[in-house]
Amino acid sequence: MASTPINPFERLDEQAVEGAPDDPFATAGAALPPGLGPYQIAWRRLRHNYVALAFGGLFLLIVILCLLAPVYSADIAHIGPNDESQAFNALGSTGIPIGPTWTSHFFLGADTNGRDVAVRLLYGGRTSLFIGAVAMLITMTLATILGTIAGFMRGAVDGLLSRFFELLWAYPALLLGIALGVSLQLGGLNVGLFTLHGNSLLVPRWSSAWSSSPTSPSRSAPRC
Amino acid sequence: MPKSLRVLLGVTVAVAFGTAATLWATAAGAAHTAAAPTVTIVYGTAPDYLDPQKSYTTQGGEATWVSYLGLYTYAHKSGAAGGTVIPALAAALPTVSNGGKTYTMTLRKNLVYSNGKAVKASDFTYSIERALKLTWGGDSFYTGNIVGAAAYSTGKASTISGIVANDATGQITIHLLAPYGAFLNILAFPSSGLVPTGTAMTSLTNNPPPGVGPYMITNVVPDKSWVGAINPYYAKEAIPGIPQGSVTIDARVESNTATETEDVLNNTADLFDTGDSITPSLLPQIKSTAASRYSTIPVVQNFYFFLNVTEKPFNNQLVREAVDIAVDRRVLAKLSGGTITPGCFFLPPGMVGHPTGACPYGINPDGAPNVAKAKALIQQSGDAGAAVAVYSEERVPRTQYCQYWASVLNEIGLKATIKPIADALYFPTIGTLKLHPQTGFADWDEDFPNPGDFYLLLDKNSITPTNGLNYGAVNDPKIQNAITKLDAIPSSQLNQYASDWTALDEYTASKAYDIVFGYQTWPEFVSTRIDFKALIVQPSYGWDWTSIHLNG
Repeated sequence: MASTPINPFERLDEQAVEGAPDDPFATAGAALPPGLGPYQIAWRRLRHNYVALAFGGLFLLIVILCLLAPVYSADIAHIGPNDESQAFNALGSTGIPIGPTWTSHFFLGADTNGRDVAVRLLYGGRTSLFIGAVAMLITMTLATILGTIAGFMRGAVDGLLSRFFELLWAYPALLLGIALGVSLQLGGLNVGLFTLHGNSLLVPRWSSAWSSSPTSPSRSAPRC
Repeated sequence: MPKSLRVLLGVTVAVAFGTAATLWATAAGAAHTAAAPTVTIVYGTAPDYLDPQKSYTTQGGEATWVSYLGLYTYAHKSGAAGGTVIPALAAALPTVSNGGKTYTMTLRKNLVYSNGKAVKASDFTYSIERALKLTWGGDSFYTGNIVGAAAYSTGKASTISGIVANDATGQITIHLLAPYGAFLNILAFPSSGLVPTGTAMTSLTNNPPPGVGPYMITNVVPDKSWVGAINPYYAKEAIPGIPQGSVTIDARVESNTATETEDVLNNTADLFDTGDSITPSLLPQIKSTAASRYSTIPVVQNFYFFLNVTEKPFNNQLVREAVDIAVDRRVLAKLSGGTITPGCFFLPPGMVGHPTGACPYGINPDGAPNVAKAKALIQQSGDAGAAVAVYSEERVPRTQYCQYWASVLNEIGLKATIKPIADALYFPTIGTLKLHPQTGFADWDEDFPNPGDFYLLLDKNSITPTNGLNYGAVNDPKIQNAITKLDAIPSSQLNQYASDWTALDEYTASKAYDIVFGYQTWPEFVSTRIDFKALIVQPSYGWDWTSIHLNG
């Protein structure tokens, strides 16, 4: 006669039984209770992963702070990310910047141009998040489209696409990214008939004088 | 012979060969090293050119002034004495006649180039023609003074009629359009240095032509390195006042000035380019641990932001006044690591005619700017919101100067963005007329002790399609008339006309054509290998390579 079935989901609320498996579905023969979808299951697991919760909260805090960078800049620090109007007070006589003041002005100190590091950090965070989000969206979109085409067409199309991506993935991703970034920043990239002009993939700026438009009439695009 | 004996014999022969080869190589290397030890000079930026008829920056001048002697050169002395003109390839100072319009001199005998070829008097004519053909940045010194130079420059003549050279006697006669007090200084430019007739009329910066001088430039890797080798033919020439070199110069570009500073501090390089700025954060360490091999020297050099007066918004006097009163010169001095003295006049201290009175518009270089008034002026001008591209070099601290400048322009109501240009290309770029650069960093170091040298940058004849020096395209009749009148004054009478130059400079400041923010000091910083006391810094060109010796 079989032993009384154990409700696998009750285990999540109790101390783990020694030797018992973590995954409730591993309990052989247990019937799934109705009403709990995969998201709820995932949430219940997450609720008990305190490390994940802590760092998730930290990430959210960072995102919120970065999104509030204009508020911090205008209402707390009273200085923009490129504003050097207070450079005279933020630099020593030989140009050495002040350190953290832990006050609303120059909370993390100044950089070598006399700009507020904390404000620039938050604005820089916005750029980093933007780059990450856009890169993820581009990847998802392209992957969905190409994957759908490959799966639908199969045969030669699938083979061609698969071989192309294998070739691409053969390059170390980090090195390829750095090389492309430098090339596109400098003067563009020529690959046979294909040309990407320098700065054609610039990240949008958050303020009008944020950074440069580094073009030089004397440079030419490196050829691959 | 037994096999073991054969093996032993073979090994013995191999060892003997190897030892002999090693000893030979060591002896050869030792001989080479003993003849000319090598010292390394690090530069934050490469020279614009290493061709004498093209170069016009201190980095290029430092190499070319000792490699391409002209009829005259400067005394190998530091400070003001380094501005004295002495005979080089000419046997003596010239005879000046015809009311200051004719210069006559004779070439020394038995001169040879660094390739052994004999020097001829007609090589001087060819060298000046080459400077015009290659559109040297200061070519208006020739076209504005030498008879026939302008016609040659525009292709209307096949030679410069105002230069007469006799190869048989070695006599050279130069006819001027009008007396020019500083003409001897023009003949002392490296661009007036002689090269053999027939040298290509194209830039040879990557493979410089032969010249006469203690050094010759070799092994050029563009934008990276070059070698100043001792000219083996120079020793025989023994020109008085121009010593031979005693070390080989290994020059290399280290675009990160912090690394450049550390290299010299840690003795992995020997000399720091005088045209660069010591990284401020390393200054305390240098002063405490390397004080015996560091000092600063004042030079006659200004730092400024040029304003293109033919382009919006700087064609508006109100805007120029606004930006002049908005900039905090004290901040720029701090960004320089304390090596700049704030100022507002185009002629620097130490130059005849430098004004000592108050700056225009109530500007106090050592005080706070008037940003509120500047904002009001911008609104009044009608150019609020105008887009401005700030041209900038890439090396520190010049890029910081321009970042601060852009920040000031934005603060008062303009829309400024930075346009960084590679250092070696920067000055040729802003000197290209068709690019219409609106504003950017510029500086001028004294070529010779005459205010006319600085006013070259405000001379309408310096507005040229390429390699122009009048970056702001200033064409002011009052300035032009004054330059024409004062340039004719002989150098020996300069001080008598100091008040005229002062009045001109005060007028220039009132028009705010250029936003002068300070005057530079140069660092003298070397490794422990170098005999610091023996070093000479030429006021225009930097390190005098012939003065570099090793300790002990």
